[in-house]
Amino acid sequence: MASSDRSVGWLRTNQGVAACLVVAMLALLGYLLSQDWVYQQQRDGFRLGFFTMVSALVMLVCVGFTLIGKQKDQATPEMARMRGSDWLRGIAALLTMLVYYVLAWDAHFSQDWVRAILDVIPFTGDFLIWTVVFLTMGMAVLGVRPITSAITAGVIVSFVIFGLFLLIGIDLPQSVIGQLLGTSAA
Amino acid sequence: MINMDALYEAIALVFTWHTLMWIAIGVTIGVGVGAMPGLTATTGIALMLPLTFTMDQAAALGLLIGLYKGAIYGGSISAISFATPGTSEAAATVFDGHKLMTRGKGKKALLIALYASVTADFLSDVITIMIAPMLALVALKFGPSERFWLMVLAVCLLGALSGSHFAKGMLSAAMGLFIGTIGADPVSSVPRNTFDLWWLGEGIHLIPLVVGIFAMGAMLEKIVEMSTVKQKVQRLGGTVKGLFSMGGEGLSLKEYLSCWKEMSIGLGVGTFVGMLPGLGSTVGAFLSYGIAKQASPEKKIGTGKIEGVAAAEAGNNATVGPTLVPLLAFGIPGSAVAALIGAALMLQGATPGPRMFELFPTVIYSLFLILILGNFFNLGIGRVFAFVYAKLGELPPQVLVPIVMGMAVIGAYSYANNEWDVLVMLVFGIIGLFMRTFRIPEAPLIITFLLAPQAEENLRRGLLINEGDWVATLMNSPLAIGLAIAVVALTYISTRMRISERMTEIADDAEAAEAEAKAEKTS
Repeated sequence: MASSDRSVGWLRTNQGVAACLVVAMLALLGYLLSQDWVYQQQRDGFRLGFFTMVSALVMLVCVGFTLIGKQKDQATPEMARMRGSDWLRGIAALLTMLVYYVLAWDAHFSQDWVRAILDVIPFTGDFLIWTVVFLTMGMAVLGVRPITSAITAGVIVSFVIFGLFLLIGIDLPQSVIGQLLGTSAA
Repeated sequence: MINMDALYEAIALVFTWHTLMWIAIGVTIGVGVGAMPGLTATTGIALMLPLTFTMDQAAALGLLIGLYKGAIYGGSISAISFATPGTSEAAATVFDGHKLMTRGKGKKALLIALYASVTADFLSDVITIMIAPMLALVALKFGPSERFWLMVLAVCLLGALSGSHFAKGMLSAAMGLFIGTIGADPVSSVPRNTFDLWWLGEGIHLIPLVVGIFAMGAMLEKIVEMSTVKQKVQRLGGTVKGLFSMGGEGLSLKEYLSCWKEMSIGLGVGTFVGMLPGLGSTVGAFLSYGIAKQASPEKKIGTGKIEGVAAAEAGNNATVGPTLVPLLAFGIPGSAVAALIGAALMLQGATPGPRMFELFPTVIYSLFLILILGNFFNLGIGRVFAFVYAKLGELPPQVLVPIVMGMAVIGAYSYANNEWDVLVMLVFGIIGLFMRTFRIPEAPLIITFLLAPQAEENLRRGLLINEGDWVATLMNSPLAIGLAIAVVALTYISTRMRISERMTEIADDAEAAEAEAKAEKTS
């Protein structure tokens, strides 16, 4: 249940978060209003930006209600205990996943600089190797001990995932180990 | 009228080793997902959804519906064993289930949970099969404006009933509408709202969206929880101990039958709640439990009685089939899980809605058969492996989180072999974390995202028919006017009477129950 503990900073209350969202919504509305496609009329007389504008306005009204509503001084328990470092931790986890994806799938997003970096890293595009690395590191960083348990779990789970997806018929990037086993999909 | 040819075809499709195997796999994974705290039916289905596009329709439905049924039941296993409900739906089970467990009657509690779940689930599926086609016949008479207003009404209902804050529910719905407008418009295919990014020209794909919002958001929340709650080094090997043996007091037929009243309450409440958009199985379980407690004070439900477990479990599992009724009859998913099952149907080329009964009768019959068959698989797998699953509740999140994250990347990419989808999934992961932290319900976002193109098509079709006259388009029949009035009335009532807050109080009892049980356990 939401808490109205006065020790919770204003920014974490419904009003504080809503105030930030109002700024974001106003910026979004400003951006939309500056776009030509919003006013573009289709052959059926319908304006292309109608639903987009309606949704942006409804979002603004909703955050407005949150800003001034009866629960404005309350904070959700999750928001109350979140620190800035927690958000950074979440973003770091996402970046780690992005790096894992780029390495395991040899994905360069049509960017030459990414391609240049990937060229010097060994085993890029090897699903099994990078999945083992990702899972083992993930478990170890999150606190699995002893490290050998994390390594064992990482290796086993990677092979199980690889095998399962192969059975289902979903292509995963080629793998040195997969080629050795004669099971590589790509 | 029953299309016999389609029915025979559906029987031939469903009763194959291939489909039966996928139902069994779905239930097996589902019970495990339910038993593991931190994973829900929605997360499990979101992760499995990308796999279904390589399967045939019956196998895909078998996997997802089996998983859904299994997960709703599976939550009770850890609720009874450790007073930690695997899913919020099972929180009401903690009250009596864990007390039975501490008295050495864990086996009895697990068995009544299973039997009550399967009984109510089976009977509510029968009701679903009878009601959905009748409602679809009514829905077929709706024109574009009636369909448009029905969708608006459903979105308002979702906003009103999901979460504790009407404005947050509606904010989620508006976010879904906004995301739904990214990419080409559904009528003239002109690109819009792409932020000048070429790779958004096709719009946001459903799979990265649901995987990001549900699976990734939940896992990021777990990571944050692990850092805020006192860090404890997790030693593998020593954690999974046999909590209880296969022995212990079982459940007699007489005891099972003595719970008929509580199971009936669960069936009635769960079926009704399941059909309403936005409420879901947690509310079903708590309402059913509360009514059963008041209806039979002499049974002293709440002090460790099998009747309490039966009421809660019947109440949550009875929502499984009925939650598909709005989807099948009107094409409007009433819950996040229904939206994901609807998405799976769309991936298979069958758009859910009243015309589905005419256009894809084989899919409909297959779905009905799988709904019924899933219960038998749930019964068998739950009966044999419940005690094994109980140990899954001890799987540390430190192991679980990286695995789910890895699966999320594979799922997001594999759907369309599009590298940008992974990026989209990660962005929605952080949005999902924000929504969880700020308690913005996720279901309205996904449902409105799915409904946005349909709503736009219906509105524009209506405008074409009425030569651009908005009033004639929106108010062209008494039913359309009635639905419009209902939307206004519902919005007014929701804001004045704070319905969502009252409904959430029911769900918040879940947290209180969990906290109480945990405190009891530690003392």
